[in-house]
Amino acid sequence: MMDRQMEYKALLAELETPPPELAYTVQRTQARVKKHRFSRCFGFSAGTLATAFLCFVLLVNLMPTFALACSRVPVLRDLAEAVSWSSSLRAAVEHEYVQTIAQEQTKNGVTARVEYVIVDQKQLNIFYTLRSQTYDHLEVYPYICALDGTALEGYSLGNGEFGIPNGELRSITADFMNSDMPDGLRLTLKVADFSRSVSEPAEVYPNDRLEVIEHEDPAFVAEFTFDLRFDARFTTQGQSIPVGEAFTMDGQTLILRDAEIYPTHIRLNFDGDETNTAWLVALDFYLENERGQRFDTVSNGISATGSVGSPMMDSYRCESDFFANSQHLTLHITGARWLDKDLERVKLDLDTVTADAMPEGVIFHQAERKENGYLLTFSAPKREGFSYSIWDSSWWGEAGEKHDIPYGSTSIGYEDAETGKYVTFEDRFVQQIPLLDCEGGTVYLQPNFSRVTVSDTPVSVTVR
Amino acid sequence: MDQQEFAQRAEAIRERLYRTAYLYLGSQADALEAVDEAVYQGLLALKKLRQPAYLETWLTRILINQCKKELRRRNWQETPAEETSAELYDALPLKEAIRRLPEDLRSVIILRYFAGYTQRETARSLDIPQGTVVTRQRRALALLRLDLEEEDG
Repeated sequence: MMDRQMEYKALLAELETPPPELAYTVQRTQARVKKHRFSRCFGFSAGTLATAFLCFVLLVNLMPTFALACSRVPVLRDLAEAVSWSSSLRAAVEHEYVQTIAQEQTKNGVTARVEYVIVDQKQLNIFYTLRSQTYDHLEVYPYICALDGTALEGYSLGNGEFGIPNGELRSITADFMNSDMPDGLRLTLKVADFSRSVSEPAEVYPNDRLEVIEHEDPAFVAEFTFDLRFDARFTTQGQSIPVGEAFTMDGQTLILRDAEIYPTHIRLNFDGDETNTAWLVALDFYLENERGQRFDTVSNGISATGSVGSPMMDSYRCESDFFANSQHLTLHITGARWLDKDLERVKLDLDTVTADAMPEGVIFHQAERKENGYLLTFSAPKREGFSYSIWDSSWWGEAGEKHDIPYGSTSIGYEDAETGKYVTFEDRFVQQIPLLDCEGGTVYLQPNFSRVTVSDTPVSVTVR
Repeated sequence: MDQQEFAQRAEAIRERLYRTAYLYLGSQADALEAVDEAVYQGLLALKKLRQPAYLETWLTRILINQCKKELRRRNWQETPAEETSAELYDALPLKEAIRRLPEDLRSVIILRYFAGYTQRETARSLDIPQGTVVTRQRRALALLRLDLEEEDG
């Protein structure tokens, strides 16, 4: 009898700790009910994307109680905070455009938990946490592949902010450029212990040598693999609007070919006229709807993409109006950066510290000979108070051989090699780049842009 | 009853539902799935609930039906051809012994002594008289050799 009593107490104790997934029972149910009603909307065949969009928005707006339920759940409030940098993702959370994953694994004293995804036809945002009593500072190296383990193509993977404390939501973003989001994918998180690296002092490098950064594999303390399967209700969301509007800026003709509207972002796709003398490499712009609501360029993540073999950046991203029910959208362009076609490569003479031509406003100050190469120093005007990268990450020798520029540094001034004085500027910044193993003479650099257009009156283009 | 109230009340009893499902089905994953399904079915059929005051016992009944369905799917016998002998129950771990009980005794013991239902709540959930609850719990406790209070705590 006593044994049975103890068994009873043990069984009760076992029931005291239900699985964490139980906490989201009601949320899963609500999402499932929405899908059940939603699937009736999709029950007919051959619904257009525009039609699917309309159904989803109607259902969201007719079910305010779900939004209320969301506001009561602390974890979703954490998600709202975690996406505060993106108005598109904030809107997605507010409209419960969130798929709960709730998968957790523990290995070697580290617990990784994939909480949610916000996913559409082209972009996947994964929100997860790491917990550990053993390691104070953990960072992940993420990888994705298909569910069957085969490689995926045509995507970029972005890791979220560095230094997020254990237990707080972190994010990973996967962008599919041309192909659509798969039905699911396999996420691998290699978790590294950064506790030691933060507290150790930086090594002091001798002044007569260029620093050679050697890649070290971090100390991985755990590896997790999660199979993520996406709700088709989300992965089908997206709409392409043909535009075909041409406009002129600074003597160059561009055509806004189309706009792709996804819950997570908007892509504006451009073509450049063949007669243009410069490539478009950056665009300052915003979208505005009929109510004056503004959708700015993305501030975190991919802001623009180009095509292989061309310096032109032909696709630009901004925050989405997906949940704003806009009837009309207008593109307002306030500035652009161009790379003149005759300035794609700049020839520099390191011995005379001269150049054939320089990007607008850039000054070539000095070329210091070091034991293992050259350190080049430039200054450039700040743009809206910010510094930027002047040069691309490659240099070419006189014979055309290509080399990498592994790093650069930006600061307010530089030490003049002849006088030893520290030189600073007003409204300019200094950039120094190392050319490892360079012997001097003639080298070629590729500027990121050669001139800038700032429009006092924005160039406006009707999107829809 | 609106969906918000349903959500609040379902959340309040989800652990009781889970315990019930766990003892029926024996695994966390199956129990979670059964609870999910029961709450889902309940939300879909909310308009059919004639007496909103009894939502909790109504959901429990849906859950138990869901568990029975899962057990049938597994081809487990709900009711053995002959009752398991008292000696055999003694030899089994408690969790297994509970699962071997005849269904009418099993449901009472789970709701009363693991999910925390009162006699009245158990009676409503199983749609049986309260007196029948008393009789069945006594019989189940005897078979399991458990010395527990028979009255509501």
